[in-house]
Amino acid sequence: MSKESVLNILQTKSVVILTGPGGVGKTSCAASIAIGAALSGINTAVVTIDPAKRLANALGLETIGNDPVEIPMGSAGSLHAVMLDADATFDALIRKYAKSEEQVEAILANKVYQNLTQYLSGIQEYMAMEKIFELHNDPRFDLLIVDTPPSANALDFLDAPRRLVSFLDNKVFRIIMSPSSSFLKPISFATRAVLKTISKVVGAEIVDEAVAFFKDFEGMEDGFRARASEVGDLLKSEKTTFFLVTSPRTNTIIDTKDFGEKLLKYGFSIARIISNREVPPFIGDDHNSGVLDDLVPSDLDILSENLTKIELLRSVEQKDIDDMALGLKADGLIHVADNGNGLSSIEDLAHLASSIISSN
Amino acid sequence: MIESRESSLLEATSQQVTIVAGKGGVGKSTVSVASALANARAGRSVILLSTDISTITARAEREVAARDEYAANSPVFQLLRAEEILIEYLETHGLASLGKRLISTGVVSVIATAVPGIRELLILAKIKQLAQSGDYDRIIFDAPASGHLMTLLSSPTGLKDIAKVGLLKNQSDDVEELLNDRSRSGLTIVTLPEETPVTESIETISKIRELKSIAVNALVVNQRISAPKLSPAGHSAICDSGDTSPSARAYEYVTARERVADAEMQRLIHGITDVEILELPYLFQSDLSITDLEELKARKIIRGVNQR
Repeated sequence: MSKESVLNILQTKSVVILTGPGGVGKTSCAASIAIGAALSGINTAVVTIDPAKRLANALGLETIGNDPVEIPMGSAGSLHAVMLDADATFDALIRKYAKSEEQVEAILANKVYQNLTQYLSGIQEYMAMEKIFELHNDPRFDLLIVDTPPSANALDFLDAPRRLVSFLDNKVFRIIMSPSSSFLKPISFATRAVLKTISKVVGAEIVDEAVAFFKDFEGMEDGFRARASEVGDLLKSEKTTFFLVTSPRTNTIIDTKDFGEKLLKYGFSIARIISNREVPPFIGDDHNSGVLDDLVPSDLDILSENLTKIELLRSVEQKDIDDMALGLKADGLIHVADNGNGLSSIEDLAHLASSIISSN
Repeated sequence: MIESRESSLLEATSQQVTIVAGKGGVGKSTVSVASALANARAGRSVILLSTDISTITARAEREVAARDEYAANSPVFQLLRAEEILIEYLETHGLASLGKRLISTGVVSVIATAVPGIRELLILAKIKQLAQSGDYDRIIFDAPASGHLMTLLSSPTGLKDIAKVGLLKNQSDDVEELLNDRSRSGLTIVTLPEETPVTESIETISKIRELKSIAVNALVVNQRISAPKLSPAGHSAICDSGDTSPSARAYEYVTARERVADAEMQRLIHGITDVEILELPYLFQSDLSITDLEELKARKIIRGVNQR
């Protein structure tokens, strides 16, 4: 079913984005794929959005920051970890596109702006893309592995550049501050009425702050629009691919399917589906030490009942996962068995990496 | 060995208003639906609120409608959308024509960004209104994932600082009063007996305490796995033999998972000292039907015994 091996993907692509619903182990998968890539001789950076502490712990680090830190692996390729700081990334963009130092200061001090990265949905994801764009041009890295935050809606992530641009293009606020508004008096009058009503509900200070934001931002929209389209192009380019991470629980699979369908609708291809935390198979490795022969009958019944239960669970899981993978036309499906003990060390992650990379 | 006794999810929803929270994938919706069903069966009128339609909620709504026993007292399922609440709110304040226009022009999006927590406040205000109406004995809110929980719970206080006058301030005051009233509202945190969820729920509870707002009612540990109980001799024989027959390995697998879950339970019991902990069993199924949810047996951790 696979067109190319996982190793081949890691060697030829520049950006691998891991996406999928919450609670499936995206962070562990991202960390382990990055370790695997570094061990295979690829200079790799793993980028995480939230919460960074988990990835840091998994990699044996105290913290990771907005600048790449190297993780000494003694591997053929280097390994770096980066945490996204959406605020710092956005600030840097403002500095880049602002016409003057005054404009930078005014925007950075504005409440609307200060809340933008946290509260405009999809902005965290968009800033992550921005950061990826920057890291993509960093000669130290051949490959970026991106761990995305769990979002209920895959569109948050894919739609973010458009949303930011449309937020910045807001007509009501543009008209209110437009110097030529006298020509548009009827509209402007209605708009003013709207703002007056909002003032009654939320208080005038907030409305003033919003108007000030759009005033300060004036002239930067074109820069942002062009940048958003460049970032969008990188996402859609041949260099970028998606791994959809899931785990075989019915509700998770339904969410993943929805997620995957949206990715496809937007024209992205899913290089792999990683089915994480599967119940492992317990067949085909028979070494009866004779211990079972000595057990009391009630113990034997318990053991056999337990095995039946687990095998049934596994077969349901496998069927659900296979059906989903078929529906999403993924190039390949990677099964990752749950070892029962969780992942607690870099060795566990390297082990997981080898099972992902050696899969077809 | 962690001691527990039989309990019920009714204990996780002892106030009129319960906010059910937890990180993504831990089973918030499962616990919310199971609690709603338990309350309905106990004869209470229940409304289950959520901000998006989860698979499990949609399914519960469908299946409950087809069940005779809920015909007389069916839980009500309702979706909360900040935009719709805003329109409704403006309509009741004689500003009907404005609502839709505010949303279509993107003004709401700008204001919601300028005033973080405004969407959350609108949702809480709706819950407050439902609570005051007296139409429901139990209001269960399946809240969005942890990251947004703090925004949700701090929205009334945060907004009071920003909006010093206007309708928004009045709403903030009322909502704050409801959240602060321990006899009327409480928070139930859902988690899994796994490393990341346990760490995050300990952190979440400590952050919520700092807010000095809503009280944490209960912590529900979902999917607590139990290995089948072999005789002690049988257990050591299997574990020491290195036997790799399928039934021995399947037993060791479940035992390993139980061990991890036990260790995480201990961490919770010691990390969160004054909140009731309820646990729900892992059923070895990838999918739970409504019947499974009705039959879920909650157990309550006995504090003193496990803390020595």
